[in-house]
Amino acid sequence: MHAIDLDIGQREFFVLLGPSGSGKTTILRSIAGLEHPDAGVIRIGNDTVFSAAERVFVPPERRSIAMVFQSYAVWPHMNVYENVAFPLREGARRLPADEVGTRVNEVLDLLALTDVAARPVTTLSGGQQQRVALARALALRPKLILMDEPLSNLDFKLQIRLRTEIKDLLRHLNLTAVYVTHNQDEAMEIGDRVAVMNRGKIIQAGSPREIYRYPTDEFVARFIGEMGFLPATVAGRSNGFLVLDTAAGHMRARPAHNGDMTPGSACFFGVRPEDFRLLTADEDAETNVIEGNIIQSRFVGEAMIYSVAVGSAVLGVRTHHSVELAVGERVRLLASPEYCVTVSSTDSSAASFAGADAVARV
Amino acid sequence: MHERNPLSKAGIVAALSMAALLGLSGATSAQTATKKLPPAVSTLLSEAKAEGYTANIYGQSANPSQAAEFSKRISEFYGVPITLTMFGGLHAQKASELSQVTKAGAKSGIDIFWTSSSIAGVLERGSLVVPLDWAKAFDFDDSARLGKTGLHSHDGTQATVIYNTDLIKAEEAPKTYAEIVSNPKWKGRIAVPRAPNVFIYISYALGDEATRTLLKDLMAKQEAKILPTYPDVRNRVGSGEFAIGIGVDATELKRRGAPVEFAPIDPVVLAPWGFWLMKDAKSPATGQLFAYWIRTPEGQKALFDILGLSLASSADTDLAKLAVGKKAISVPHDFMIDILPERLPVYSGLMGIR
Amino acid sequence: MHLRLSGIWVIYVVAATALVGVIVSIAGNILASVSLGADFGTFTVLNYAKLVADKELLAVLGRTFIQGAGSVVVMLAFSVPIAWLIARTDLPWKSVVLALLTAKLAIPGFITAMAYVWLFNPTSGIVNRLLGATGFDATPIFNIYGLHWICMLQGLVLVPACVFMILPAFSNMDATLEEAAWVSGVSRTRTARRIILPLLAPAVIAAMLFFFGVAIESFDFVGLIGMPARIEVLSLWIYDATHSVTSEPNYGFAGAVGMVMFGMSCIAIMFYVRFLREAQRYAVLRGKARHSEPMRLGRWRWVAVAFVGIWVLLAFALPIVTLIWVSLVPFLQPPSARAFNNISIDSYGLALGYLGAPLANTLIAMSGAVVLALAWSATVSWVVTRSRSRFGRWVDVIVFLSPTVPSMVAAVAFQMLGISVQQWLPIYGSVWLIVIAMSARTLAFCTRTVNGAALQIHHELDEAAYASGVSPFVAFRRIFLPIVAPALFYAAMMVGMLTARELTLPLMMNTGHSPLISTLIFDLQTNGSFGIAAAVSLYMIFVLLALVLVARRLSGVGERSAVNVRSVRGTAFSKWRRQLGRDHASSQSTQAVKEAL
Repeated sequence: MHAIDLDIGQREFFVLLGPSGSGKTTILRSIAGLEHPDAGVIRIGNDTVFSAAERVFVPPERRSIAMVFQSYAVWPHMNVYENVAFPLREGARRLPADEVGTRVNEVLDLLALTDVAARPVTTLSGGQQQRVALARALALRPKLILMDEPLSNLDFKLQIRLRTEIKDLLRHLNLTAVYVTHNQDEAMEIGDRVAVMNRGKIIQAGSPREIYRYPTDEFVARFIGEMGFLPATVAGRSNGFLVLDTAAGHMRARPAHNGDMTPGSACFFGVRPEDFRLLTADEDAETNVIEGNIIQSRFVGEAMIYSVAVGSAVLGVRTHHSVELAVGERVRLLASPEYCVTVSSTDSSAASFAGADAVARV
Repeated sequence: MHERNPLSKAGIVAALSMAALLGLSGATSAQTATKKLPPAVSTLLSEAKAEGYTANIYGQSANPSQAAEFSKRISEFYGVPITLTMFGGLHAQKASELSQVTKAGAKSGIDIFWTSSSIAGVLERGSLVVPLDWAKAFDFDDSARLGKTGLHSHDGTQATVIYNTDLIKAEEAPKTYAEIVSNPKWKGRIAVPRAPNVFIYISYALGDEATRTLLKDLMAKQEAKILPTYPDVRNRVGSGEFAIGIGVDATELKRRGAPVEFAPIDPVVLAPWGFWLMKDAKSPATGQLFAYWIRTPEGQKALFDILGLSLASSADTDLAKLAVGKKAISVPHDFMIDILPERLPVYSGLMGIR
Repeated sequence: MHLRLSGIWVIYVVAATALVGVIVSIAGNILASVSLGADFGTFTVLNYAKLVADKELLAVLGRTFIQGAGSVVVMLAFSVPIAWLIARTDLPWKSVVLALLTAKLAIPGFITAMAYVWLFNPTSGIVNRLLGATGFDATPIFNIYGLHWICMLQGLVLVPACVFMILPAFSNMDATLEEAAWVSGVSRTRTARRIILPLLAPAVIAAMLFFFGVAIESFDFVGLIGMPARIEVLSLWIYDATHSVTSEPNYGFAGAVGMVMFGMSCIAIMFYVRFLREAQRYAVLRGKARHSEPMRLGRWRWVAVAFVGIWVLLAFALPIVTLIWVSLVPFLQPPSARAFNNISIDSYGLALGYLGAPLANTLIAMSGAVVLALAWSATVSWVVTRSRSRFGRWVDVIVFLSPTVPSMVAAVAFQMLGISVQQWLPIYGSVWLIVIAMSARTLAFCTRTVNGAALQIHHELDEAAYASGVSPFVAFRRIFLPIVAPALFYAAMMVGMLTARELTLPLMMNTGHSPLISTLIFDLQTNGSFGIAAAVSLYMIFVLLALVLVARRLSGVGERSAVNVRSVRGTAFSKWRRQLGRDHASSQSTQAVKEAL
């Protein structure tokens, strides 16, 4: 893990997104107190739960958190009711005996588990077990709820349904949540803010729209949605945009947040497939017109995906399913500078992105 | 009822002197192989050659060096290289197993079964042994016979008593069986092996009634402890855990320097052991050579030197010394065969053994 | 699921021979119980009549039950904490502890018994002497001749086997279950009490029941402590019946008593199977479990070490020191000035001379038993865990019954078997019959160990193989075996140790032609050559320890991976994938497998 800085606001639904091994679970577990960082400070609300300098470490059972695990971690020797009630009866945030029942039933009702309350958890389906885990966490009314890929063990349709339910539920309960996932659709859909991680670093954090529209790094650009790249060199500036020299000519794009923008430095010009507009023969534009040949076309139901060769690079283009172009046809594409990005990456892997992989992902 | 056949004092002295003479003469001619052997033995020698001069003797455990020593001495005696394999175990179990084995057509793997009368009875009943008249075959006198088919090899110490000399002074050592149970100092410090036949042997000398009383007192009054095996009794008297042990000898332990000694009990009850030749012996000739040799003074000396066993009549042996000045009673073979089954359940019951 | 049968029949055949071994002991026991005396084949109910009519029967049954329960209590008192410390804490010197546990298995039971009698007998016990409590008139402070001593010593001796049996359950527990409790605000101790222990309970109870059966059957301590004190338990009755000194052995009565023991063990086994099933329900089968970080003991680490040290002292150090002492003195005696004057190391030299054939035979017996036990437990485990038919369950149950037949009765049964097949298979009197008998007895322990690992392999791993065209036999060899390899290794080590030190069985089956080290020690003892017997014992323990250490080094199996199947699973699985070639997108089966993982 590298050094990271995170600031999560109250009632925020914060998502840590990244591939496996990126360190997102480590951060989550550090917040929970299940991992010991080497240095730094962690504060939950006004409480410092960890400080390397002051040798403070509050064990997980004394932090006012709740956590939902990827494997649900429901206790197999108890039934649903007991699973939810156990922390309320015997935990640090316990309730007086007469109140336990009310709280438990309330939460079971919320998650539609009242019917199965007396069943041993080992007899429940995956989705039901996940809801038990969630109920257990919510019953504690924690300041902060941590969720470690809670839906990844469920089947696809269930995932989609449950993710919105969880988001709505948490918003309804005004809880702050940190949610870990590797699924970018999920992150985009439910996060208030998303932090994209890779190899132990937070690459970019922001609202889903920000991350999507203004990726600061080619990793982020690639990880979320699709993006095609053309190698470029910085030629100058114009009206707040950068002018980039590419194989397709001069392009205007938004400046990168980091990296060298001096004229002559190398970078990449990036456009998402859905941001291209096909120009008809008589249409023209001032700038950012790219010409290329269609080398592949795919029909995916709601759209057409074309791979267009531009020089040695290949760009993906996404159009309405009614557009029917043939392989070999020459097309002209317009990419509005608003939606074009400059990626100044010293990472040579960006070069590979400009190539065949543009074809691989659906 | 059976009569007792005690060897008279005179008989003992005669036997001792003869043994001494034989022993001396034997010692002087020990180096040479020119012995006067009965013709039967010479025949056996040539047969043994065909057998390869090896024999399996079952009945006494001998560790490798002891077996090697036996082999060496018997080879010296006969002038030919004889190898003996000696192993022991649970005689009763072995005997019964052999009945099953031979029924199934398998070989026993034993040439000579070396045991006491009661086990021999099992062998005889199971027709496992050759009805060999050893005395006639080898020109021994009647005392060499053990039953009709056995050769008297040595006198077992299943009825003798030992004591720990650190705990009991020589003058306080028991001189009769009755004294063992009359001294309250020895309560809880007497050890007995889990073998009722110890007392069956004793009952030949003392009679059934007296032995039953002895047993009752031993168990109830003196709280004697029953140990699993004879060696256990020996060793734990030697180590001082028990002061008195019944049914064992002191010879081996004394040789190692342990503070044990034979209790000077009168009468000295001897439990004869013998050799029986197995019907399916692979090396019957070599086996018989071994048996014959043990009866000779050289063999008796070897037996005493190596295993501490001997005939009470053999000179310079512990048993011989023990018998001096006392009545020596040798329990007859037939007594053990016929009377044992009656007394066994009673004595077992008194000892608390099933 | 339609299986291609090529080659798989081999596995079923091997597993079937394992069953034969077990059935022989059980059938032998039954047959003996209806036979008269030593005459197999006569039919009589006299033995049972005699047994039932015995006035002492109820008392003996009660005492036997106490013997079993008491031993198990002592065993658990040490095993559970020790297994916990090894599996879940940062106990220092873990590998030393595991080595000592293994080494204890190499020490024959009667040696431990002997050592303790020496120290604590009321008349000449060394400890009593040191406290001035011996002599004709004194009252001893310690009196070893009591049932509670038998229970304590038996319990101590069973600890290694128990630890090895429950260790996998402790190590493989899903850490997230306790983390979930912590993050919910439940304190560590409360989590241990209410979450972890209840989840481990089935595995511990299963072990408890298993070893109850083992405890009531063992004779080492009953013989040396129970017999002198006339503490009668069932195993003593069997010993009496089979070890008659004067007349024929009464196998009939021994068989009847054996059946009673068999009955008691069967009941225990029935409950054992039930608890086992519950334990398996709690086990995580999907492979996503984390392993918890070792708990930091902090200040408590020295208390923990002291606790383990107590066991080491009582169960290991005392017998070893006794052995060393005995090997140095000319005859059995407590330490004294006279004794020290007579110390010599002659025994060690002499012992070397005796080792030849017995050592060779013992090594042969060990290898034979290990190979046989491994082949049997691997195949039986496979049949039991893969076959979803009732046949598999029955096989499992039958195998569990293998140690319920008392070893003395089993010895007789195998002896009779050897005699009856003498004409076709001349194994009677050879070391191989002993090997078969001992493998049959240790089978239950092996399958128990291997089953645990086998169950962790999700069925879909096999199905993926079959769907990709791999025959069941190849799947057995290349997937199943490598994955259960650590468990097999542990089972092999146990079998090796138990075979080397087993005395009852070879003694009863000994025909003099194949001496083993254990029978050599016994013979030496019988002849009073205690020093040499002790030296041989020490050599044996040393050799066994060396074998274990070398084997562990060679196979690269540390204590963690030996009980952690998952790490091995990863490598086995990826090796298999490489072998078959990758084909993600189109293969449904690999997809299923990926999801399973």
